[in-house]
Parts: sequence; C-alpha cells; structure tokens
Amino acid sequence: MKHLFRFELTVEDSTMVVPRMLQVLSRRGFVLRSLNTEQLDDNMLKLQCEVEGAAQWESTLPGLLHKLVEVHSITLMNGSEDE
Amino acid sequence: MSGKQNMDGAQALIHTLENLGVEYIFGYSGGAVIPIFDAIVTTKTKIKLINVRHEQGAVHMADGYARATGKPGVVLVTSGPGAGNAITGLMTAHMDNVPMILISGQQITSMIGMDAFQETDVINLSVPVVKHRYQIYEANDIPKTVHKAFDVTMNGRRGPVVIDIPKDVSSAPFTGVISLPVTSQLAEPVQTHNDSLKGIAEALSGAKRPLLLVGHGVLLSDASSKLHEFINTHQIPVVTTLLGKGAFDENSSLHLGMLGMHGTAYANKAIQETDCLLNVGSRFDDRIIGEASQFCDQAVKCHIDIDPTEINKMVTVDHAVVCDAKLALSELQELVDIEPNKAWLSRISELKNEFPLHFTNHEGLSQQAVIEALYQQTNKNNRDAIVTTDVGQHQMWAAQFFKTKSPDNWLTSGGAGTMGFGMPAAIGAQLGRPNETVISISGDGGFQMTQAELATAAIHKLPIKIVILDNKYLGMVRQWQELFYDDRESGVSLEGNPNFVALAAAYGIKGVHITHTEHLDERLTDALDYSDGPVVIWCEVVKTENVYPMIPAGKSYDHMLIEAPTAKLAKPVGST
Repeated sequence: MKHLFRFELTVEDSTMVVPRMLQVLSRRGFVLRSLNTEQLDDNMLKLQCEVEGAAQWESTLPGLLHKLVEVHSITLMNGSEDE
Repeated sequence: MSGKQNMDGAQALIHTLENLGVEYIFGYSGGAVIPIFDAIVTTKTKIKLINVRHEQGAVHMADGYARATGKPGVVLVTSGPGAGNAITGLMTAHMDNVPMILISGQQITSMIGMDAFQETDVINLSVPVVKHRYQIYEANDIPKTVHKAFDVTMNGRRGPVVIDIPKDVSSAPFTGVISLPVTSQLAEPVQTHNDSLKGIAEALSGAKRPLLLVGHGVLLSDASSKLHEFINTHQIPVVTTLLGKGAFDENSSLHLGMLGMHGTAYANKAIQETDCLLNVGSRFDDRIIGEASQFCDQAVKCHIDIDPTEINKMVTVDHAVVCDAKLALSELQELVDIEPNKAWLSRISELKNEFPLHFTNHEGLSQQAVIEALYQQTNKNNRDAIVTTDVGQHQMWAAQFFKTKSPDNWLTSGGAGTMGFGMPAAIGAQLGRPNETVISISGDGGFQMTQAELATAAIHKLPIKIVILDNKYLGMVRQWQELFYDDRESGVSLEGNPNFVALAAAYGIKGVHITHTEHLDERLTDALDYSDGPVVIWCEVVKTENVYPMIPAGKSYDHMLIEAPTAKLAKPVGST
C-alpha cells in the first residue's frame, strides 16, 4: 500500500533545494508525483509537491523536509491512500 | 571591513575566513582557484595553507582537524577533477556528521554548462554527500554566503557544506561588506522534548538492569562531562558505538567498551540482558543492531537524537526525544531517580571476567599486540593520545584494545568506512592540537591509498606516529572469504607492498621496522619519543588472523562468535 503525501515549501533558490529534496526523500523511498510552482511577491517560490511513499515513513516526512537548508516555510497536508 | 580597499572576491573570501577564526586551509591548486590561492598570499592572511598531494588527503585532513578540535575544517580545491577527488572525503565527513567547508573553484560563469575544460557540476555531484551547497554568482555575496555556510555546517546535525565559486566571481572587484551578522539558515526543530524525556526518566528509574548506549552525538554536542556526571551519579553501565569511543572513560568499571559486530563479548552480552536501553546520540546503525527485530527485544528501548528522521528508522523504540544530547542529559540528570542495582553491577563485572578480550601471542607479531603495546606505552607515561585509524581489521582491534580516555581522541571513519582516512586525518589532528601525541594506525591497504601525504607530514615536521600494520592482505575481506566463502581468496592479496621504512626514508622520514613481539616495546618507545617530525612504524604482522568477537552481518546477538567457529558458516544475507 502506497500513500500520497502533499506539502508546500517556500524557497528562495529552487535550483539548490529541489535536487536535494528529491535526494533526501528518495532515500526513504518517496517518489515525486507532481510538482507545481507559484512565484510569490517577495522573490520567493512556492513549491507544491505530491509524493508517493510507504505509510511506514509518514512520520519521518517532516524531519526529512527539515533537513533542507534555506527553506523558508514547510506546510504539510494530510496524506491519502493510493493503491 | 568594506570593499573600498581595492579588493577582489578571492581576497574578500580569505578575509572572511580569517574573521571566522579559520586557522588552516587544506588545499590543492588548479586553474579555477588560482585567484583564491593568490589571495592567500596577497592578503598576508594569518591562515596557514597546507598544500597536500591529493584532494582526498585534503578533505581527510580537514576532517581530522574538525573531529579533534570541534571547529570546521576548511578545504580548497579546483574545479572538475579537483572537486571530484574530494567526494570520498565529503562522503566520509557527511556520514559521520563532521563540520567542514569545501570551497571549490569553478569555470567562469559564462562557461558553466558548456562542458568547458575542468567544468563539472559539483553542485549536483555533491548532493548526496553534503548538508548543503552554494554557488556564488556575485563577488559581493561571498562574505554572506561563507557566513551562512559556517552556520549550516555547525548547527543542528552537522555536516559538510560546499561553496562553489566561478573564477570570474573570485576575480571580480569586491565592493561589499566583509563582517556580517547572520541569522540561522536552519528551520526550527520539529519536536520538543519535555514530556517524552519524562517517559525516558520513568523507564530508567524503573529498570533493574539499565544500560546506556552512547554514540557520536554525545561527542558532537560536547556532552562528555554531562555523561560522566550522569553515569557516575546513577551508576548505570555504558557501551559505546565505534564513533562514541572517548565519550566516557574506557578505564571506568562501568564501561563495557564497544558493542556490535566486533564489540566486546561482555558489551554484547549486556545488551542481551538489559531491561532498559537508553541510546544517546547513536543512530542504531546496522553494525550494532544485527537482526533488527531481535535487537534488545526484551528491553524497554529509549532514543535521544538530534535528528527526528533517526527515530524508529532502524529500531522501533518505546520512548524517543529529539534533542541535543547535552541538553537531554542535563535534564535527565534531575529527572532520573534510580538506586544503583548491586546485582546488575555485579553481573557486569562477572561478564567482564568471564568473556575478556584476549589474543594469542604468535611466533611473529600480532596486530593486537602492537595496539596493546601502543596503548600501554601512552598510558604508562600518563600520556593521552589521539588515535586515528583506517578501516578494517586493524580498526576493530584498535577499537577493542586502545582504550580511549578523553573526548575527541578517537578519530575513525565509521559510517562511510573510508580506507585512506587515518594518516591524513592524523595530520589534521596534529595541526589542530599541536601539543598532543597523535598516532595513526593503518593497515597496509588503507595506508597506501593516501600515502602521498607523507610529504605533507614531512614538510610541516609533524610528529605523528604512523603505524602500518602490514599483513599484506585486505584483512577483513579475507576474513569474510575465509568464514563465509569457503576460504576462497579473491582480490585480497597485497603482495608487492614496498619496504615502508625505505619509503619513509625517501620522504626524509624516520622509519622503524618491527617483526617480532620481543622488539615491540623498545622500538615503540624509540618511535613514540621521537619528536623532530613524523615517524613511520612498519609492523609486519601475522597474515591471517581474524577479528573476534564477531556477530555475522544481519544475525542477532545470539549468533555472536567469541572464538573461531568450528562449523561452516552460511553466507551472510544482512548488511555488507
């Protein structure tokens, strides 16, 4: 059983953050399902992400995202089941 | 300081590093970093350049410096292969949470992505082996970025940071400000610790056979004195991981040494008998847990770690706190209310007496005898020593037989298991702590991976003691082939090794050759007393000895081999 997890990050330099985010998440088996961006007023970029992964690692997701440096905010949405 | 003094980006970089208290830059030059190496001269900086022979050596030196001093090591390399050669060292530091700044030169900005000469995407090459990376596009951003990098490498769970600087940026005029206040780049911790810490305190207070498992996190948070206070107050026995050595005095009767695959039998037996295990600052790695489902399965398990992603990663625990080790131990000191259990302490003594570490004195020279003699000599004169190692059998025997008394005196590549680490790390440690005895213990395989740094040690007349335990084998791999692959040797012979004393002499370094136990004490004394520069201590040792105790990879503690097995063993299916 895989689960979908949604979260948003606001970042200044997506070139540095996105590869690291994918690497950190992939180490626990998370796979990127969708990534949308929204340019914010203050030169920030909002990343809206949906990743698929094992429910076993759900509690780890916040900690994994907090490993990312220069991320200005992290917002976690509820996960949902996905076969 | 502002940039009005006709400064360029490279000079601003050096001034910034100097302001941050950097003492040494471990570096190797090349086209893309010529401006920065030039700035080391033109700024007349107090920072000393340690010019190495290979970038891997530079990173291990910076690593050894950082582990021995607690301050970030700084590395300077060129683009392309320069940065590429540094990757193993970055991985080593990252796995063991060592603070480090690696500054790489880069092709000029307009050539990035053009596959120009020595243009490599180090920013993405290094993603999995560093904590963060910066690429600088404006000279005026250099001080701010360097300050950020220092903040990132030192705070939270530590790790190396790469700063990539294109040559046109380091050469560009600098008109900014050098000294800058910096706010932390790290997000707040995701958990606080109060309630969970009480749960741990209650579990410990109610335990009859409590045991502490201490890892590198205790050393990284400078919590050794708090740990001593806690253990001595509550009389709780302690085991350490490979990287936790030195967090608690190994001469204490409460210390059981290292646990795990090649841990002491008494530490491993205590793990099986404890009813409450408190892990402080260790990530429950595969080398200490074996079969995870059976690890300590009779005990209440508690875990304190600075990184929330380590909780329940390898072992599911009953109580967890995400917290700096020093803070957690300070608070636990007050919360725990436990009477020392004489029966448990007596049982610990009994285990130590029943299953002591031991070795056989062969006709030739055993590695354990050399390490034991090194320990006795440094201990006898009331000296302490910083010990660095490479990876393999000698590392395990050093962990077993060289008792570490003080924090930051045991420097070894734990997570990455990097051969070639020992001797350059010893150079960095000696530079960081010049008044202390530094001993690097290597096997013949690991030593030869970075042996070119003998030149670096000789040039700076560093009095490091370079012990080479030469069995002409990749000993640990040979041991696995003997035990699990029907003794079929493949790719493990190192016949063809040089005469290491002659090699040392070629660099102008004193050499000592030991082949028999009866010469050991006299020649080690000679070498340890020599202080005019490095000394190579070439020990030709018994070729095919095996490290015990041993828990085969992926097996539970019940499968610990205290002596050589009498029956054939199955190939291990667990961790490599």
